[in-house]
Amino acid sequence: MSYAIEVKNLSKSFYSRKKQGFWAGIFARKYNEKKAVNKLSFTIKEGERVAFIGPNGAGKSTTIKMLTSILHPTSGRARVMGMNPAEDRELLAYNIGAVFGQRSQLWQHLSPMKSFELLAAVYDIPESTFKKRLKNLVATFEIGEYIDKPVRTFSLGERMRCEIVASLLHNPKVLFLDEPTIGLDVVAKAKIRETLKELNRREGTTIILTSHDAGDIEDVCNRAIIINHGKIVIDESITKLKAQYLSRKVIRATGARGKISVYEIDTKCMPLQAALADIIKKDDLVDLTIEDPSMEEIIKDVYSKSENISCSIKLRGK
Amino acid sequence: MHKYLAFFKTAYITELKNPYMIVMRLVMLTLLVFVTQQLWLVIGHKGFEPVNIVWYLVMNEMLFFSYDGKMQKKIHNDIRSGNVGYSLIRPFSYLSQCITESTGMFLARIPFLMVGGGIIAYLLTGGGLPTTYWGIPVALLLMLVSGIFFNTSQVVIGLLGLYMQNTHSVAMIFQKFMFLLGGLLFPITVYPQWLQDIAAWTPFPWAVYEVSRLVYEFNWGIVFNTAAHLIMWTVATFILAYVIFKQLLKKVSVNGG
Repeated sequence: MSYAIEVKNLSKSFYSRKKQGFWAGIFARKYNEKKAVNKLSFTIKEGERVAFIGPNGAGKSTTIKMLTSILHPTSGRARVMGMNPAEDRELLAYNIGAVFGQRSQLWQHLSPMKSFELLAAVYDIPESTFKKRLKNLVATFEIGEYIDKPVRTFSLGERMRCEIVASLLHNPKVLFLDEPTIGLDVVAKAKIRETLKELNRREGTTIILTSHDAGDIEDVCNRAIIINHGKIVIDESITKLKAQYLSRKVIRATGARGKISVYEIDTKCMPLQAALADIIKKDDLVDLTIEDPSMEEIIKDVYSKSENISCSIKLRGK
Repeated sequence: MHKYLAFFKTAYITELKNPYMIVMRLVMLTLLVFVTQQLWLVIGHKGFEPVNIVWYLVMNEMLFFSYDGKMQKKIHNDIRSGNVGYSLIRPFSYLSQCITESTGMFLARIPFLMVGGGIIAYLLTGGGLPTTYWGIPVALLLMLVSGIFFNTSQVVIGLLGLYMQNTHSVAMIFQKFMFLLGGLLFPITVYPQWLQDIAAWTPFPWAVYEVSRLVYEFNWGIVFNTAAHLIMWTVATFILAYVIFKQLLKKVSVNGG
């Protein structure tokens, strides 16, 4: 079995100087250590689509940066397509692509077409291969209309599509996406998600996605690695993750005067019928819906390390 | 090498797509030379031929308008914002990219400045040529090396963003040294000897004065001496850029999250 990514006890610490007196600051400097990533270990097989998620400051971007050679680990071992990102940067670069939603990697004063031509030279892509691949990607991501305009004139959605095309020109085996749909509207998000899945299906590209959008995770990925405080909290397939939380139900009850109450129950503790009987007694109901918790709620629960909710009906905000 | 040639070509072509800036540079060159020429008329030429002074000034201003101050700002901003770290994802050296692009921009500008500057000097002198006009082609060749030195210096100044919040002040000081110690407006022979001796230990007179004076005081001894010093200072600047860049890579710490 070949792994696209192997990480063993990977750690990264950042150091900042402590506030000290003048002489102490010169002769006896002290540093604060912040452990951003703490002995992470996981493997990702070729062709997997993995969501790498966690709350702000969890260490996910730091981990991605170590895997893409931007940062060097403090300790531990990382291999991407068998290469060490810290030592084989240039060689690895031919095998990976990366898109950062909050950073542009295109040349702002050039059109995407010029940027793509420049990237073809950077990645040593033969001209015939480049032309064929570009034609396919332009059609897939529908960027033909604005490919010759300067990047600085684009909307966010247009820019993101071009950024993804730029990261795929050299046919990378692994694609890292750090919040690729941030700020996009629902239509643009749906398009990008669909195209990423198609890319994975057609070319077997391994996809590692970090996102705060539960829709990205649910639609694109088949596995989730959730990290918090630099450590892995959960490493599960999306199906199993949802199944674990499917025992929870969210019940929305609309009263006669239009008041909506939202209840959470854990059906492992309290049968659904008993919960419904209780709710019906409380309100003068006109409508009732029973839902599975959304991916967003599942993740929120994982982040907050919430215990299984008590075996009573819990009223949520209205 | 192919990828850096692509960076060079893109920068070169992008520069040529801005004819308005080419014209503006020539207009500014003409104004500066004209005003300085009038200043020399007032102070009485100090033993220099008026024709030689005009050609000397034009040569200097060609160099001044050809080097790229924007690269220093771009590098500084890339360092302060952390963008430089993201260049590590791609298989090229950020430093080599900056130097190649900077050279491309310079080589796109200089032919227009050389031709335009030559015409302007000819007109301002009423059709006069400098004393050793046959030295002009050699001076122009050395000017290419000066230009590469100044562009690489801008890269070094930008890289100082690793240590400083604002490298603009360093760029301004550098420019002032170019003016004073390089003899941008006055040949440095008008300075007291002690100041000339100090200047000789810096790259500025070799990159500016010694190149431009070949138009009125040409000999092969000066050419080889100037070329040797210029090459030495240019190589030293490349090495300094490389050393600072290596430090930068060690310290790069892009904000997570």
